[in-house]
Amino acid sequence: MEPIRKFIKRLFKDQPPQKTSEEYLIERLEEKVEDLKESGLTEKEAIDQSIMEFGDADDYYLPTLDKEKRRYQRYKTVRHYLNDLVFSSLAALLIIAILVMINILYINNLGPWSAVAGAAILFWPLSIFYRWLNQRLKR
Amino acid sequence: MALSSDMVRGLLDTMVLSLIEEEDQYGYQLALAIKARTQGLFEIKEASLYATLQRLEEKGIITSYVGEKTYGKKRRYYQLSELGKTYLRGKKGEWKELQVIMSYLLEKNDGTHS
Repeated sequence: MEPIRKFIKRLFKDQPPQKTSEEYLIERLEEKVEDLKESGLTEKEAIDQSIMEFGDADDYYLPTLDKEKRRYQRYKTVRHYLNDLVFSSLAALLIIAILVMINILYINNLGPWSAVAGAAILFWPLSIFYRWLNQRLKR
Repeated sequence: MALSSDMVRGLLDTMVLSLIEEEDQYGYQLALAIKARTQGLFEIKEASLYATLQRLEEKGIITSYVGEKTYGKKRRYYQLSELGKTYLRGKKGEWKELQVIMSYLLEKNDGTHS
């Protein structure tokens, strides 16, 4: 049932469980839809009710052990650092390009000063890369 | 009064296993049974229930099989394994002990305030 599948995918967008768990939950929800249909509801009503009563990702992770919860938390942190890394790398490249342009076109009497400034700016993505690497190693 | 998440987490296994001990049941049937048996006082979120079932099955405490329902499609039924019977006995023992401990503590507390 496509609406059930979409609902489960959307629910765990940020905290993905194992692939097998998603299939497992879809099967359980489909069982409920069948039960509700047998009690007289239309398929749409049965799907809507099943989705409404299911709960959210926090409810799903409620019974899991702390160790598993920390694993999911770390997964989120690693993803967060990865986003930071992409953003900082692109931003650093852009700033360095602007500095080099200013160095060449306008302030060129001080030598290649933009290389020093550019190296300093590179520490921004490098520090995030280091933290991302540390988080990955903890997995 | 809604139970806190911490309290529910500690009790889910015992709730689910004690119902499966009575008869093999499938997921939604268990959700309905919990609500009915607690007179509607406790309604489990199905996301929590299915996660509990999945974890218990991974640990070998329950096993599942696909069975026929009287009408309609097949359902995945859960039953207690031998390990599960021992585990549930332990959980019931823990619960009785906790009831005694809490009754000592709370009754004394009530007494001092009354």
